[in-house]
Amino acid sequence: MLKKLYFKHIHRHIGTIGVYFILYFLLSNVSLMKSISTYLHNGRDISHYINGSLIFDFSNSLFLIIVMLSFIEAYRQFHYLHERKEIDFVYSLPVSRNWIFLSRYISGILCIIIPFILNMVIGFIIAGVYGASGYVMFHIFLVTLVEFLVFIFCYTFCVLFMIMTGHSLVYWCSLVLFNVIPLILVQVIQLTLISKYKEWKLIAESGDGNPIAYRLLKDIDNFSPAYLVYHFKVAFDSDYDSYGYYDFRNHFHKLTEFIPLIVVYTLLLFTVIFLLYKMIRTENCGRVLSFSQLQRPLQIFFTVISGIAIGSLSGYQAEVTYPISYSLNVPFYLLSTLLSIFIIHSMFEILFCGEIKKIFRHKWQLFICTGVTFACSIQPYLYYQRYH
Amino acid sequence: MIEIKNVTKNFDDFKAVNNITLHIREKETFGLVGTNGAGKSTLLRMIADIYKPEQGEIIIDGENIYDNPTMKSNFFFISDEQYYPKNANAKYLIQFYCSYYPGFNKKRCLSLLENFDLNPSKKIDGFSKGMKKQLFMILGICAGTKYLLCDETFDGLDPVIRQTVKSLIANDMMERGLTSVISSHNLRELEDICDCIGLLHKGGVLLSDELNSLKLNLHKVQFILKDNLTAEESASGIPDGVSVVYKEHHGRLITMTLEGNEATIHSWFQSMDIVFYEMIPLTLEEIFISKTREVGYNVKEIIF
Repeated sequence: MLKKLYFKHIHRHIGTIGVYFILYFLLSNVSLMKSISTYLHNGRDISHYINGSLIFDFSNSLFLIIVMLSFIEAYRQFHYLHERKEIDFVYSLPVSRNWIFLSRYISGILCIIIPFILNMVIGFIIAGVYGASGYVMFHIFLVTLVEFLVFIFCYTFCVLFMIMTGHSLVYWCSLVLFNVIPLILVQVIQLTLISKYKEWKLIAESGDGNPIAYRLLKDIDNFSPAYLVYHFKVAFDSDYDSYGYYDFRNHFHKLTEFIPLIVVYTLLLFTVIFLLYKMIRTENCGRVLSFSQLQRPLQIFFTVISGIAIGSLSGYQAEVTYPISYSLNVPFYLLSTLLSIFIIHSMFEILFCGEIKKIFRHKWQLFICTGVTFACSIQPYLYYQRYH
Repeated sequence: MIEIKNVTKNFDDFKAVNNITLHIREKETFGLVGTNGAGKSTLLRMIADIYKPEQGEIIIDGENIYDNPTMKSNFFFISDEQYYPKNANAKYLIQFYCSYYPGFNKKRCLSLLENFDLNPSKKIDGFSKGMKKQLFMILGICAGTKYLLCDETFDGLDPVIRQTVKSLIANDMMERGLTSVISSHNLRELEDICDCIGLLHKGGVLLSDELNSLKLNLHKVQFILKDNLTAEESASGIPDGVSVVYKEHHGRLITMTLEGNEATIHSWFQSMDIVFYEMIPLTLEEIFISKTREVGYNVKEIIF
């Protein structure tokens, strides 16, 4: 069945595999050759360079591309869930729905694994030509494996978004919302608050009494692919010393810890998406969400989170602008928080109903979100009051 | 045989299909007609296993159709707007369907494409809407399946092609026992080809019967009154087993749609003191209008 579903039509994927290969090749082996040629130009011993530093390692741009490819590939493979005509076509075929899901999922992975393997082989050849040891070869293999696992994790996560959403635009917006915004907001809040208050830094580092706002955003952040990729990269970057060399043993130790973690996380995620896929109602194709029961919880969740984040930041901004009088913070903080709650809540109402006049459809929900948001976001300022 | 047993389908609060029971026998052409929004496409999609019914079940040849690939290989579904992969041509689709339907007749398909003047190497994007329908109709017939499900396939075909497609369906029905379920608003075309009709309205079944039986039981009669009689007087004394479905009068000319035995109606009119009467055969369209008028769905109710 898998052969019929995928391999007979593999020629339609060859173009995509080719593009991925070229992209990966340019960012990995071509940039590697560039750094080697720069090193050679300086007249240094190349085999010492290759065996001493981790030039066959993770690069920022490559990680970013891996995450982007996972977004694209999940969309490409499961696009039929968002198109009425296509879902009619696919589901009317004499194929079990489970097989349709598995073939699409595996298809996405195969589109990436082929370029990864080819580039890894090219990496082996380059390393071999310049006298790399077996240790370095093994490291190339391990790096490729980790990049591949990161891709599968991100890809599985994006498939979850494809299943949960019913419309392509909603998929792309929710990816940005879930990956980029919490990551940026956590970093911004951390940097702004910690730089302003020394006491805050102590609190944040000890983890004791961290404001709810910060904790909530961190929790969301923990579940996003962008967080995993960013923090993984940061953790490994910190192993470099000032000469650009590092401790291989420590590096391998971290990698071996990371690999089982990501495998377990991915397997759990796969189980969740498989179960959700079986529960999808075909008629929800084209709607905002595939599971309409999630509309209210998601609306409340994003309204509160956005309100907290914007409220915390606006309060800080007000204080920077008016350092003399603390009382000037309050109106600015109140206004910006209220405005953000109203705008986000209304946006979701319009998204779900399609009508502007229904933005006050759930007034009690709006009041509750406002209450919860203020209760969470006022906390940093109570801490400030305590220390001053 | 396709058995639809107490099937219900909801879209949020809206009941698209409400407790429908239908039986579609083998080797017959079943016409699914109905008012707009009656649930025809929804019902067809449930038979094609695209939608899952909230209640009830759909059984094809004794097995429940839901996520049953073995049973699904017995039917081919042609949607009103059929999907095809980007940059695909007819040859690609033939190859595609060959891998899913073992009985697909590739040779016959290419021959039919040539007869219909459709280039198999040309991209489907370059076909007109009617040509795309022709293509999928040909693919459906050549798939060699036991059942063919067509959702508004005749709509959009020119008269010559419609006749050709009807001939193909009739031919396959005779030769290999093809059973087709065709939904259409073009009742004139369905009348030529269908053995049975199912009329849906607001998610329910208004009637489901053989076309001949329907025509035997429903009659349109026009008669002219004598000067000394009123319409009410003339229509009195309706015999048992006959009911008036619809009545309309323009001066002394009365038109009635009656349900009942033809012979009984004839003898009734012969006994009446009228100038002249004539029994006119009802078309499927007139049957449709009469039956939906009974439930309040008519032009006057909608416009005025």
